[in-house]
Amino acid sequence: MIIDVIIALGKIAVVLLVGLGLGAYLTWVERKVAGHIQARMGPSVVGPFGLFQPIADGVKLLTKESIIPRGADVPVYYLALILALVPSLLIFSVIPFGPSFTIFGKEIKPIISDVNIGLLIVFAMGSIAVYGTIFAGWASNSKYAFIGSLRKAAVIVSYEVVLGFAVLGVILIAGSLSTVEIVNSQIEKGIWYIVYQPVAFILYLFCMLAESGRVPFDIQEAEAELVTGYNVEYGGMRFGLFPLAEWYLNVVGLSAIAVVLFFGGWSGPNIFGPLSPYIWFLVKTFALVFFTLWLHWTLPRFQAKDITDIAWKILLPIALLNVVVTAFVVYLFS
Amino acid sequence: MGIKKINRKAYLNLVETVLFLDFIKGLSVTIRNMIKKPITTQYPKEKLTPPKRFRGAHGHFVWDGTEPDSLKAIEKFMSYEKGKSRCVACYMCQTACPMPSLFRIEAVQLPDGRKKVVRFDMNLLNCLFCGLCVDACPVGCLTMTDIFELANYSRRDEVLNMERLEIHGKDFTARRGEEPDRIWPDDKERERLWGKIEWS
Amino acid sequence: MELIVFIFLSVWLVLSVVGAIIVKNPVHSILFFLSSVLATAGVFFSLGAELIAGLQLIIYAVAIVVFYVLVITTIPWEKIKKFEGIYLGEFLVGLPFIIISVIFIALLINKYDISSIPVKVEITDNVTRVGKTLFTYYLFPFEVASVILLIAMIGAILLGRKEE
Repeated sequence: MIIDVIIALGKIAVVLLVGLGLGAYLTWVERKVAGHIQARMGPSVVGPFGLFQPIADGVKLLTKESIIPRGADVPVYYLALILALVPSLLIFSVIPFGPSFTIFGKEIKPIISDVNIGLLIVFAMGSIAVYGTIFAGWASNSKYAFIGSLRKAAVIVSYEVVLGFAVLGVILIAGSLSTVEIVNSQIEKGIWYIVYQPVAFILYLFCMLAESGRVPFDIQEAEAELVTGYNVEYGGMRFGLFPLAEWYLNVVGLSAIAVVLFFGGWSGPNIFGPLSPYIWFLVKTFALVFFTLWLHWTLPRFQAKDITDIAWKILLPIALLNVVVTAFVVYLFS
Repeated sequence: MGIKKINRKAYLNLVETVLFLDFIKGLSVTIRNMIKKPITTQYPKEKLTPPKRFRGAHGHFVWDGTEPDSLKAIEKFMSYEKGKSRCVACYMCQTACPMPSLFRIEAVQLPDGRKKVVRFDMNLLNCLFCGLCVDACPVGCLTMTDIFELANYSRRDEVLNMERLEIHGKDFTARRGEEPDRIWPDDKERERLWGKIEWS
Repeated sequence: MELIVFIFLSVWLVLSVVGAIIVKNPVHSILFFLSSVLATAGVFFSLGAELIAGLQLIIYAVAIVVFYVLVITTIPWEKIKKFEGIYLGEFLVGLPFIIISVIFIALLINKYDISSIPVKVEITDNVTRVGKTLFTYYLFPFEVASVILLIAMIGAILLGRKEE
């Protein structure tokens, strides 16, 4: 009993530390990628290859004066921060990082909670994050922030639907909502589900970009029109928290889920010894994260009206069609 | 004349849309950029040499035997020393300048009738570096050098007096005097930065 | 352990429901409502009804409340501040319903022995069970509900259509 609690706390601590540390260092990765994509250098002054830049940024953000705008709704203003950060962290609770192993006669699963409805949790958390955005915009009593948050709400409402239907195909094939089960079924069949569900993967990618507010769906930030959107009235580390949660933690979490769904989770040739599954999982996840960054620094932004248009008129019918066809195929061949 | 509407189909047909051909084109451009070496010049550590015709801080060419004929003709009317400014205080530069008050030029007549330039100040805070004064100079004296780091700690230091103009001029002649007068230092450099131009 | 979790969640739930009723600012009210929905999902989780909890989160906490929030946050501040009274008329209208529901709950408690109902259901595969029940035993009501939803959707599209 006590050991279980300690193991659970240990897992949570590891995931939290790794998640937040990764989030901070992804800023460095993103700036390097962005720089090189535009034939620039990226951060290169602080430390070797600019590796200490996130620390410097963190110190800068923490020591900055942070003000609360006049007319702001103070409790909601602070609550929005929590509402933005917590769901992004909770996504990590259902990500399986590897197969279960035994240590001191005790079976340990490298996943915080292996619930039966893991994927539902992911979708729920991915979209509960929208409240952070909406209330941040509303509570700061600023029109720019508010317009940004309303745009984000519109995007989430449309893409959540598409996301659900896109993933349904994979769930039909795997026959389970649990993340561990989905990976196990891929390992059993010896095939990654992207082979069966390429359309669903593309739809998922679109939804991932929309939910994490990445280009081409970053209308809630839209630097050119809205300054920086919903978090414009926040200062200091509070300002840094929103991109950390939305751009980094969310992207890593959803990429990991995409790896679970479409790329066979931790499966891969056993070439790194006992750590092999974890390394494969991280490699796949960061390949997807890199792809997201690559898209971010390549594409322009859609117009606000186009984004909901695409979701409802193009992506949703395709997703429905995909589900129907998959259901027929699964029914006939199993 | 109305607005011409261009359909997406004019660029991409259905197959290309489904395969995200436009995305792939863009992504291939960015990944090629990413593999390429960055073109950044890290300014305080590395400095680009500007082209010779660069319009930086002003300078005065000095009497060193390369004077144009126009100056040789009036040589005997001027009081000058070797290695000092060629200026004849004709005020042409001030006349050509869009902001004439940035010049303070004074000349006196010596007892033997020759003319001596005693003051030539330029307030660079008002200067817009258009180069009209250089074109106007009839004796090939005023020039613009490639010095572009003009920040100073006080406004007083922004005013160029005759000594500093002479120093700039001498320095510029020593460094770049032999160079052919072209817009770009050399074509290799330009190709590296901006790609090759293909003339038809 | 389970009792502690349950007490924590139910206190949270009751507090947020009360808060949703008594606060004046509609945005605070919707926040309390959101919190009550989350607490309900937590109660379902602790009772082992994972699917219901997940659906509670996705459908209520996200899909429905987002629409409320979208509408309510766009109310101008002046209108929020203008209202200072108590909803007396609304309270009087609602009173009979409150009384009736209290009576019904009392009857239910009297008739059935609550302590005999298992608190925690030990079902491992919620999803399959719910799916099977929905598509066999409750197939007709399920289809009727989906037809009603379809009609509602068509109606909404008709209403929201741009006039030619």
